[in-house]
Amino acid sequence: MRAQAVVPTTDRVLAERVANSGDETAFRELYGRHTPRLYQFVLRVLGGDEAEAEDVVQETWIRATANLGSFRWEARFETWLTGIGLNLSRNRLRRSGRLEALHDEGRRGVEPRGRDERIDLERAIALLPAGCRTVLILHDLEGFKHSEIAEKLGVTEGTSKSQLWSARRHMRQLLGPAA
Amino acid sequence: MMDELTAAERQALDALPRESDPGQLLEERTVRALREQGLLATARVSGTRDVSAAHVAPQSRPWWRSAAAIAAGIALFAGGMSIGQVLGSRQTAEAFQTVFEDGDVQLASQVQRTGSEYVASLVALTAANGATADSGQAVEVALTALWAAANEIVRLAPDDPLAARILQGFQARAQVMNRYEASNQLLVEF
Repeated sequence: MRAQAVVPTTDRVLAERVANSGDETAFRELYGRHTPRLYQFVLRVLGGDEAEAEDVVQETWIRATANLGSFRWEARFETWLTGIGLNLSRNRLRRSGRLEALHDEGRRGVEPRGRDERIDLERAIALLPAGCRTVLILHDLEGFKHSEIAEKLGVTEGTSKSQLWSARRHMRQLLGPAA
Repeated sequence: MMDELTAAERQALDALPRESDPGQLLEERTVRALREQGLLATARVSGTRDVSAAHVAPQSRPWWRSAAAIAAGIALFAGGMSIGQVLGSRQTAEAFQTVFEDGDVQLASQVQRTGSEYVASLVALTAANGATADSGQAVEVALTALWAAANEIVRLAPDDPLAARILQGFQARAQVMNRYEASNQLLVEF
């Protein structure tokens, strides 16, 4: 007796079904594959606001679905999706005044912790200024190079590097032993 | 001055989760938004992944599928899905009250329609429970109406536990259907 495995459908095939015929089943398959990672990424960039992250994930899928026809498949679908989520998150941060110009942000410190207040790494990342937090997430968690981050954020590589340095410094302050 | 990460810092960052499940409700909300914008086709039977797959199933369903649908209906009843409990849910009641206080006629009308859909669904399900296997389609229609009504409740009161439980019931039902579909896809050679 031999069982024949069912070959998983590629992202491209599913995306074409969605783009060509609005296939809901294909969409749900794509959604299920990529949303957990997209959601976690957006949640971190937004500093841990779950409701806002859900709104951004929904908006990301709407934008992506509307523009599936223009996606050239030169990059991975997941990378493209994350890029949309990143832009939408940054727009929200900017509109709400939480995203300062990156060069200004680096000079600003983080809120000092109380003597006995210790926080975990996830919380420390959420407390970083939004701009340098984004650079830290992209570099130290998502594994992007400074040249790629610079392109995504529309800054120079030097700015990306200095923001990463700033983010790590702030993070160590937040995680360090209470004064 | 790149100030590299220490091994311990690198390890801590690597240990952070890269994925997190936002929950089923966001999927339903997103699908609904896409339908409203015309980016997804409106399925005859909409809802969870597997419920939507039901519309491509053959017309003549095996008896056990209808039985499974009826069983799901009974499970939903047993799970506390009665009209009184729906209206008695605190969060739902608060949402209803807000709607009426705001004087939003359109929303109020939608709430009324939602209630009617619930009643119609429950009546249809009750009727189907006592019927033969041929009533599978009636069960599907009733469940579709019920699913739509539950979604309306979720839209009005996103954190309503009862509406969420109803949708979870649909998910459980869909998993039963999925196992059957999967067993049909598995080609066995002797």
